[in-house]
Amino acid sequence: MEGSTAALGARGLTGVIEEARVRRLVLQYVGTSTAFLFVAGLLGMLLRESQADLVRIDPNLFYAIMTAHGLGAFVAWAAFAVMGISFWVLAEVGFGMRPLGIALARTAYWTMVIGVLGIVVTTLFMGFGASWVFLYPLPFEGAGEWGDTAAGIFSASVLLTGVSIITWCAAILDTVTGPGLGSDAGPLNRFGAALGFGYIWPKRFRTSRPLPYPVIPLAVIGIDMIIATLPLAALLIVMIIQSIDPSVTIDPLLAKNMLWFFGHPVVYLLLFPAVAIFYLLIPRFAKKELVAGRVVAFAWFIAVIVNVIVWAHHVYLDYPSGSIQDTLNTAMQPLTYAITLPSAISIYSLSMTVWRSDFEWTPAAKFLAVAIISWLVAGLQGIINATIAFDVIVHNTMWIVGHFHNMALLNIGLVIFGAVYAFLPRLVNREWYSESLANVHLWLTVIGGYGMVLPMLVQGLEGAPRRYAVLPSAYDALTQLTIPFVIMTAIGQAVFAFNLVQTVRGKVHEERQTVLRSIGFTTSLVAAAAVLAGTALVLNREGAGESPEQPALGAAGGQSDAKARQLFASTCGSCHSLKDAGAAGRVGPDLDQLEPDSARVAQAIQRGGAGSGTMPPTLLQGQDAQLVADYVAKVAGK
Amino acid sequence: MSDTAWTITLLYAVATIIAVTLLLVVFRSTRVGFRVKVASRETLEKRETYWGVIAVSLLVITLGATIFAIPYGSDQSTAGAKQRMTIVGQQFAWTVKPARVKAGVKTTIELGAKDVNHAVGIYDPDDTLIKQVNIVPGVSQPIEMTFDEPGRYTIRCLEFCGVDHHLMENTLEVVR
Repeated sequence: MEGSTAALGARGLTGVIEEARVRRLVLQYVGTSTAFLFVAGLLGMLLRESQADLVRIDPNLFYAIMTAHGLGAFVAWAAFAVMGISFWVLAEVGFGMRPLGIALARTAYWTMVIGVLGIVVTTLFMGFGASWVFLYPLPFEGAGEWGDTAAGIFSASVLLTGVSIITWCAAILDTVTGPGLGSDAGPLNRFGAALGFGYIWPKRFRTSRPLPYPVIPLAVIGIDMIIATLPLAALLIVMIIQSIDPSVTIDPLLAKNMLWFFGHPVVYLLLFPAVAIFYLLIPRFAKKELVAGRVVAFAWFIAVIVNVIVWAHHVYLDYPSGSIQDTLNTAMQPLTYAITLPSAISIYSLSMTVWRSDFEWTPAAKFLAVAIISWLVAGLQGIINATIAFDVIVHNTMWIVGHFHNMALLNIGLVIFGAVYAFLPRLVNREWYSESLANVHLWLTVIGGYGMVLPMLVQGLEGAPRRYAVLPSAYDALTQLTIPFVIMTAIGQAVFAFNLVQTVRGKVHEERQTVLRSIGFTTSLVAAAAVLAGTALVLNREGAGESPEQPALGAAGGQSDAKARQLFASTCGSCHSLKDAGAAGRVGPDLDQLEPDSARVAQAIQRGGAGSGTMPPTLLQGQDAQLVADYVAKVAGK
Repeated sequence: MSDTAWTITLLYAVATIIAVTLLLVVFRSTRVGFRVKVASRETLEKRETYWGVIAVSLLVITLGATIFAIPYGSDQSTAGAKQRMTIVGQQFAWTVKPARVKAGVKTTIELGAKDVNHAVGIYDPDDTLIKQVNIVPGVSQPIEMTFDEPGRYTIRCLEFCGVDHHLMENTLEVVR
């Protein structure tokens, strides 16, 4: 593969675009996705700080930010970054892009940018907070926090990111079946060759040179993401139509399956290109070829098929009677196990490539080495999630959030950073401003990241629900412990941004001075952050001690009770049961059973409920509302 | 933590420590002066096949050991259940009827969701998560379980359902 980029120019005659244009394209993808990383990361930091009660944000804003953070970090940063880097990986192994590929890649870029901006607007400015999995029909049941218009624009924005992914797949498939392949067979045969079938059936899928391994995972995901995205697109189109004409609906269980049919493979939209980067760079640092034979090709053969049929492990806990969902789910456990094989084999190949090699420990190489460790650490969590008997405990808990951050930040994220450190000098034709800052970036991200992820995993094992704006207080201590590490991770990214900007500006490389400066700079920042976090925690604890919340009881006296009872009976009694008021409504929750406190009732009256009965907001106002709230809190369940 | 959570912790810790140690050994092996007697590429490729066989075997063993411990199947049969109850979720409250059931008795719980997706998470009197099931709106989902210990159980919503999702909580009294 060495010198293959130099050979790119020579291929200009066979219709391959010159390298400079590919380089510009890749820089566009990497630059924009990195900008999204900083935004999405800050949003994530805010979420955890709110859970730790350092800055308590309003619940719906919390959930809107959660929606933006999820899609932002996952799609707009990680997926977008690897989508761009993939083109460079292909260029480096001699797969230049053709005019069609370039045009598709540009289209994918702009569709993604517009889609992401739409997501930002609908979540942060229109209050859309249905989470980034937007489980149908929640987008249309916003409890008054957002309207159908927001749901419609959000769906259209996500649809654009889906269109971007499909267009990117087309660009990848055009490139991997292009002249770089060295095959003069028909189109189908070329697809097979790009998938690595030549390692299994050498005669049938003949190529002029052995297929470079990094091509295989990219060809696999290029095919799979087209298959996986189409049902999601259909779901989103139905949602867009429903936002205009509410009579159009879709079955919730079907919608859930359509979402996860996309939701699983999209995780591999991150992982498989990351594997391609490993396949390219690890042998380069080890100064030898990737240790791989036919087994890797077999594993990817399994992957291309199984990847699009394992979605139902995301609905292990949905098994309504009379549906085939439970049978489907059971079949998913062995299938999900099968999809771990490409990872298991790849980790072996990479390890044996590193084994006793003259390995060049550059910052990029260190990022990749830690990423391999995280791949295994998070992958083993994946096997637990895939096992139904274990999943019944960890599903829907913070464990999943921990697993996800372990995989997306500490495996994929580190691969992206490693690739940026490895490729940027060639892309901008400059050396890095500082290698020691790159090391600082690595260690702050790794220590901060694991300090952030491990408590999430433990909280999950202890039953902490995920997606809670306010967690039950039993989990507070661990959440607060996380904060210094979250801040440390953020500082790591600030160091990265600084290094990146200096490099792009062409600042002179003064390593020795930089070492001193960066060490001073970083330690002071870390210390400041720790002190800040510590102080905030202490203040917060004291603050909590000073003002224990007292349930506000109604103004003493039977008179107000009598009025409240009457108000309740006339306004609320048709839907709710409350023995004291002689009310026996059955539409909404039974309040004797629920025993809500006054604040909860006041909130329900002010905001209204949603659901089948649809309790309208502000049925009662001002003093009356407070009177009824206090009264219900006092008598419910008595 | 529940027994299952402890099992997960133990298995995961052991597997991770072994895996990470192996990788660290690999990375350490690149130190200068340690590079002696590297196995040939052919040998390493052959070993890759062996590793493939080992990986598949490990997965098959794990599958065999766990696939029968799934919560499906028996749920649909209500035979032998001595008491019944319903837990219905809606934004943002649970309706639990009856709110008091007996301990140590096989119980059929009819789950329902009135508006959007919810998930019932049942926490025992020590606040340990003992059972969770997703509920799709408009679909009936009976489950079977036995409340072993008497006391006050907490029911929380575990599937994100909107602005007050985290407030969607109720309790259930289990008596002897």
